[in-house]
Amino acid sequence: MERRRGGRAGIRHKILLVVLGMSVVSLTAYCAATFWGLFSIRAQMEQSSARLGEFASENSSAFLEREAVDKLMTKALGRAKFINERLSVIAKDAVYFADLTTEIYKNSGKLFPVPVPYSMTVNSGALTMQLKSVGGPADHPRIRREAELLGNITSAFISNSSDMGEIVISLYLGTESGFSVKYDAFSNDDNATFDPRARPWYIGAKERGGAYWTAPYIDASSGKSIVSVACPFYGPDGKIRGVAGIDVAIAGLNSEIVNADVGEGGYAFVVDSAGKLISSRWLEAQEWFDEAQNAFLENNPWYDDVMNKVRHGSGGFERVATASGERFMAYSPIEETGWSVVTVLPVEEIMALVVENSAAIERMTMEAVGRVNTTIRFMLAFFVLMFALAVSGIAYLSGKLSGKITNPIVTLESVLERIAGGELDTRIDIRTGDEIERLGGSVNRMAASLKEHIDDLQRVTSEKERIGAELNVATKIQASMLPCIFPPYPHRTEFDIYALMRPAREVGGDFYDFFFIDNNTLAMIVADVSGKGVPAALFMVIAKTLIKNNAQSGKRPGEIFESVNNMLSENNEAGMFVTAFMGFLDIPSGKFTYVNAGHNPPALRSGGRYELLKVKPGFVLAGMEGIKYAEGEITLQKGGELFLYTDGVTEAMNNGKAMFGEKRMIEAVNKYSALDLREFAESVKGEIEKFTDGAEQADDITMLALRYRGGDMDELLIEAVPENLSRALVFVEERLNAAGFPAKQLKRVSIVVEEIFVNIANYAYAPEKGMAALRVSVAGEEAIIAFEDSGKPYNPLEKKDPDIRAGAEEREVGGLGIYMVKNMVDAAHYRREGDKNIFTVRKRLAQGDG
Amino acid sequence: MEIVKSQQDGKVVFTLTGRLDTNTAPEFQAALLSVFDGDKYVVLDFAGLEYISSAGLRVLLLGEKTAKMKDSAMSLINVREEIREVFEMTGFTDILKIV
Repeated sequence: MERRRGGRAGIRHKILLVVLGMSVVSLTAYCAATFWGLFSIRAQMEQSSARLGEFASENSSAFLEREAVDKLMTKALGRAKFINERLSVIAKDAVYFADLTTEIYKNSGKLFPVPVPYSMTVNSGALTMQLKSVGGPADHPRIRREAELLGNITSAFISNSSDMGEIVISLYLGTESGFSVKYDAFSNDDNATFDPRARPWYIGAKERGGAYWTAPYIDASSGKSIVSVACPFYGPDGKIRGVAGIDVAIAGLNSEIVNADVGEGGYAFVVDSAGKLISSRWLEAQEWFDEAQNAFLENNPWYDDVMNKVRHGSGGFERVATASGERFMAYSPIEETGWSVVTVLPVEEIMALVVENSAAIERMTMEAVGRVNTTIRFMLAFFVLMFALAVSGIAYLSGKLSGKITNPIVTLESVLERIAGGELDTRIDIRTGDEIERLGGSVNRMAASLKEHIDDLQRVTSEKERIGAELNVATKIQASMLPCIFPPYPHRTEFDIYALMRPAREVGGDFYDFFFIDNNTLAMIVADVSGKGVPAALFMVIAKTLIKNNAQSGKRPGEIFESVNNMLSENNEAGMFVTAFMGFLDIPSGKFTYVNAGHNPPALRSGGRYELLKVKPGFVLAGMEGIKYAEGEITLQKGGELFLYTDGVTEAMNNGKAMFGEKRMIEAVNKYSALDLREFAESVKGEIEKFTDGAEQADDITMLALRYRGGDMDELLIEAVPENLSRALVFVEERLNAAGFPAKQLKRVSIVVEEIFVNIANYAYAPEKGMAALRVSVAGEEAIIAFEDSGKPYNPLEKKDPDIRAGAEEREVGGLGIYMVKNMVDAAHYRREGDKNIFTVRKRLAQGDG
Repeated sequence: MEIVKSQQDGKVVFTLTGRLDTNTAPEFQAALLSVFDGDKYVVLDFAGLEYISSAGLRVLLLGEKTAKMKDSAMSLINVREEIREVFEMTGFTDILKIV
């Protein structure tokens, strides 16, 4: 099925394509839908992440801001409280020292004088009680008593020394008398210039009449940036005698308090009620100048605004734009001093967190989107893989499936191919349970019934063939029943007879017959059985047999027909009948006695031309019992001819349905009457065939021709010896000469006679001697010469012809005679009859050379 | 039949008149075959021969064979039409030297 398999898109292929196409489309649609979903999820996610990030960063920045501010506030408050606590303790100490000093004045009578040495540089660096007075040691006598009284504070001061250090650096009492008693590590030799009454703390405390905090200032003795807290003390009269004070180092506050952690980039500072910076990480004691303060204010214009709020508020929060960026500022008052603690944090520090936060959110969002993208990529890869797997799987499965569908079809095809090729026993076994199985069943049934039909056909055909063969045999039998060797009686020189039958079908209903009833009587019959084919042939056989049997029983023609008619009529259930014409020829006299049973009249030629013989028709044979048949009689002259035939001749039809007819038949027989009988009959048949021109032969065609020569043959009976050759030749030559044979032909006939006669003498009899009879008959234009002897059987015609092409040396001497005979006569015939050899030659008169 | 034997230019000439048949052939055969012993050239004048049968053909074939055997030559002259036809029919025109 190259073809079959070739270029052609099989069902399998088509199914595969359809399934694959559908799968690819649906998979693609599914993938597209999935990816559309994934992409829109991603888009939504991105969107919502962006919103979430935005929202989160907004929220978180607000939160962070709030938290930062809270933290800032808390820190400010905490610092403020802490500082307030410390300062309040220090202030209480100052008040205590003042109260103690007041008590010392009150109890001056009871106390021992405690001298206090003048301040000396050598004592610097250690906590030392020291005395300074306006006017220096020179003025000492004036103040000695009071100074020695105040020396009683020493134990109080020293007992407090454990609290001194970074913050509390100096304890002192300043008096109205202009001297001061100090307890600190800043001893120097300068004792005369220091007047406590001029100091701001003294003035402030005296004015206030209670604890008083100074503004920051540079301490004269220590050089440090300090603030002082002071409280006046009184004499027993209630008059102010002086002020007790404590110096607090701002650097200590800085390190202890202000520099405490506020946050990265953040810081804290303390301002006084005037808005002046008291403590700041930028402000070391030695740097504390108004110029610096002013420079700072110039650089930070926001300060005043903020400080206004700071000074009047009990605490609060501000967002301030500074030269170096936005700042959150929280402030909280220190109640003790009226100062405020301000904590500062750069907004960007908080915002950095916020930014970091939103960056984190964004990062997380991007991570999520990235994960979605990864998922999408994974999904894509997965889909590609799945797609490939699905397509190949589907291809495989649909291949198998379509194979499942088409394989039976292919099987079916190959089986059909084999069935078509003639293998009808091929059966298909498909169990698919579908139409194909049913188709397979149909194919099986088809093959079976095909086989059955073919068997039937074969049986019928073989039957037909058998019948055909049998018919063929029947034809042969029929043919063999009719005399078919011509000339049938070559030794009978009195007449010639020739007959032919051409059946319309294989076997015919026509027949002819001729036979000797006795040595001088020849019977001849032409008959036509009604119908054709096998039935007619069978009936013909019966009729022919009956006629011959009856004829040979010595009956006359009329009696024969009568009795045959009765016999045939007896059991003629088939209703068949026979037309027949029969004649008896009395050979010596030429008397022809005939009887007709409904048959065509024969044509007679006596002398000139053929003419139809007028005969009584008579009734057909087998038609009815008891019919009498009248005989007719004519006498044939020498050379007279009879032509018997059946209606197959006259009724032969051409394609135009025209019949050959009696007229054309008479013309034809006259046209060919000079020919010998075989040629004559064949020529007439040729005329009929020319007329019918290929039209199918409807009826059997039968002809029988008789040529009567007469019984009176001249005979010469002589001894067969070469010496008698001349007599024999003379005998023959005389008769042929009389019949008009030309001299040239006569010489040839002489050679023939000599050769045969010498043969008889030399082969039949030699070395004995015997008689030979020569008979000559000339009828019409044909001479018949018969030789008869009683010698050994010999048939010179069986002798092989000599090789006339051989050279002289190879030439055989014998055989030339008979060779010449065969070449010089029109017909030569040998037969052994009883103990006689009969050799007959015929020579026709030839015009011209011959 | 009449057989005349003559010498002519060193050749033997047989002049045949009448019929050469079964009865006359032996005589001619004897006359013909005897000349080949001495003569080399034999001429058969058939001007008067009007008939020949296979017996005559036999003699001519024997004569030709003898002539060949004895290195002689036999030729036929004045052959009539009807005799020539017989020669042609039997292939003798190929064997015999017919002038």
